[in-house]
Amino acid sequence: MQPRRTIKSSSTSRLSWVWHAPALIWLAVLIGLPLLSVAVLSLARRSPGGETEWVLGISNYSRALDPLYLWIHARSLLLALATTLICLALGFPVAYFITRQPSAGRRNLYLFLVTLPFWTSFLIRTYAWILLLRTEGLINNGLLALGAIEQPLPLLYNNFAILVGLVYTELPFMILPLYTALERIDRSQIEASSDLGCSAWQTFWRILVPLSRPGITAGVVLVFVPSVGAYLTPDLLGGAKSLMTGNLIHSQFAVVRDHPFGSAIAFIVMVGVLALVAASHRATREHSELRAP
Amino acid sequence: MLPVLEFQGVSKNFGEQTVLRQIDLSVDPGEFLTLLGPSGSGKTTLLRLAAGFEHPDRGKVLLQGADISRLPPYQRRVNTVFQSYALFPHLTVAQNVAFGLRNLRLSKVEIQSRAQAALDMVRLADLSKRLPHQLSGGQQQRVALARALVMQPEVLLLDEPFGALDQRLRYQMQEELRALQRRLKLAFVFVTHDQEEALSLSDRIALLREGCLEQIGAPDRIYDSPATRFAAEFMGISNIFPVSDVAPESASGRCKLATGEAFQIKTPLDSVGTARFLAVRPENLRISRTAPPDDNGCNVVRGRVRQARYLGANVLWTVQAGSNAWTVSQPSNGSIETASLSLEEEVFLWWDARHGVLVE
Repeated sequence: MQPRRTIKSSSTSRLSWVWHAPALIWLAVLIGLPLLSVAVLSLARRSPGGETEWVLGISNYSRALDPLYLWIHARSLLLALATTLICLALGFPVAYFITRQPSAGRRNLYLFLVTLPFWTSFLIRTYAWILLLRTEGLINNGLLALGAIEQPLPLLYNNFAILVGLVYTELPFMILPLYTALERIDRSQIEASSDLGCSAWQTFWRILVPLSRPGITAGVVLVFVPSVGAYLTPDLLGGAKSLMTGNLIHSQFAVVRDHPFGSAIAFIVMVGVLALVAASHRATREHSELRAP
Repeated sequence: MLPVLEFQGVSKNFGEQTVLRQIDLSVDPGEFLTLLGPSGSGKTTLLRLAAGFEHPDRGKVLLQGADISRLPPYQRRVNTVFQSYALFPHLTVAQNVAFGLRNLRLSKVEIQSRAQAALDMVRLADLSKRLPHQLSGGQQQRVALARALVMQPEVLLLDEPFGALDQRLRYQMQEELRALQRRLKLAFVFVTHDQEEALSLSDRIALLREGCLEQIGAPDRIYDSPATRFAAEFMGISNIFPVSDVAPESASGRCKLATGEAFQIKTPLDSVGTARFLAVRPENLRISRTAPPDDNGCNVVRGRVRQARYLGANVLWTVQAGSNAWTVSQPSNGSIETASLSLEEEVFLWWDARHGVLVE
């Protein structure tokens, strides 16, 4: 980039601010201002009556570290981590399978099928899972009818149900970046690995995983980030017992009316997620530097 | 002598399409065998059957006498140099070369020394820390070669390895490859569609056509005595005329073209019964304004110059004689007389009876 900048005359570079202006205004109004207001709000205090008192301090942040809340954060992280790993384990073979289809038409059909759930409202799809998982639901009734179980299994309103819901929702966001990365791998490189004595399993670890690392990183971020902050899925499938960070924030705003505390939690989650994205970005960039011509 | 690699009645279909029919072919130890043919002739599929990327529908592939038809690639002592090189972009040159050695359960020291020796062999020791994209095409080609050879295979398979290189580099790599093969005394199976490359490298050439083995033999044998019209055309013979009658006369014979002309033939006439075409190489024809001084043992044709194409070292003349168009290739530094021939001029063509080939 350096040489190009020296060629540019000063008038065009001054003019470039004009071209950037719409994007900068958009960012400032829609992202900068709300973030700032959350940051300021998180330093305020809730009055006993539920109003916001503008007495600034960091008491909300120290309160957020209370074991009661830490446990909720820990469970969110664990569920998000499990969701990410399950999506990776399920998504990788699916993405690989799609890249190995001989015709472009077949590949596009499968990619379309992967994105098919997006055509229906998220809420409806989640309710559909309730119909499947509940005590009188399709799965329990089916298993009972087959005589496989005698008592209905507790499938709904627990961590398991949240995990099912999250994996179901997030899986396409894992498959698509993995597909993009795997599609770029030359088939002859996989054959070369086999030719040089690697079994399919060894080829997976020594060729496919390192060469698809940008896709794995992207998929992990795309799945992990929304899973940590998930709010509707745990609310609908997890029942009252299984609270996640997203529900905690929601309840501070909508139920307890403690906006400052809700803002503080939201800010902590956001900083944590940003740190993760930054770390993964660095990992990907190192990788792309390695490959760039 | 036991062939190192052998195909026995191998057939292969892709869906409805038959790619190989009943191929019987064996590769001797230390031999440089080239699979030559146009695209779609099945040469690459045959190579992939040896490597294990494909499995035959019928027939067997034998390595040192053992049936390997059903073995996966990683259990065969056979290695491949890919057309696209297929180097691993995330590994350095040294890591690429050592890649397969890690599967052989060797000590670290031995892996190092063998990889180093392979890199020295292809003169890439200085570049061992580089990544593939930092190398030129020729250097990448050498890494691919070292990576396969370091495994000490029974046979090395090469799939059009020089297709992506420019002409000059191509000649250089061909020379290096041939020298390497002679030194290692290793059997090479080399796929190409370039007849010149096949002629200059091979001990034997197997010519393939539409999934069938058309002819197999030493380069000079295939070049001088193609067995079929396809082989003759593929080897660059453009004067091919249908034959109506062949009459053996002691050591030589006369053949009559479908268009009426009769010519003397001195080539071996064991294929007389099946001969359907007469083929004469353009380089073996002489062209002049006046009749040849002594037509003993020569066939003479009279015709008119229709076209002259200057190709640098050679001039390609098209001469119409009756209903047949003959192509004559003459060195462009030939006689002044030839150089001054003009279009529509009447000329004599003549060729030694030894140079007429009867093909199926």
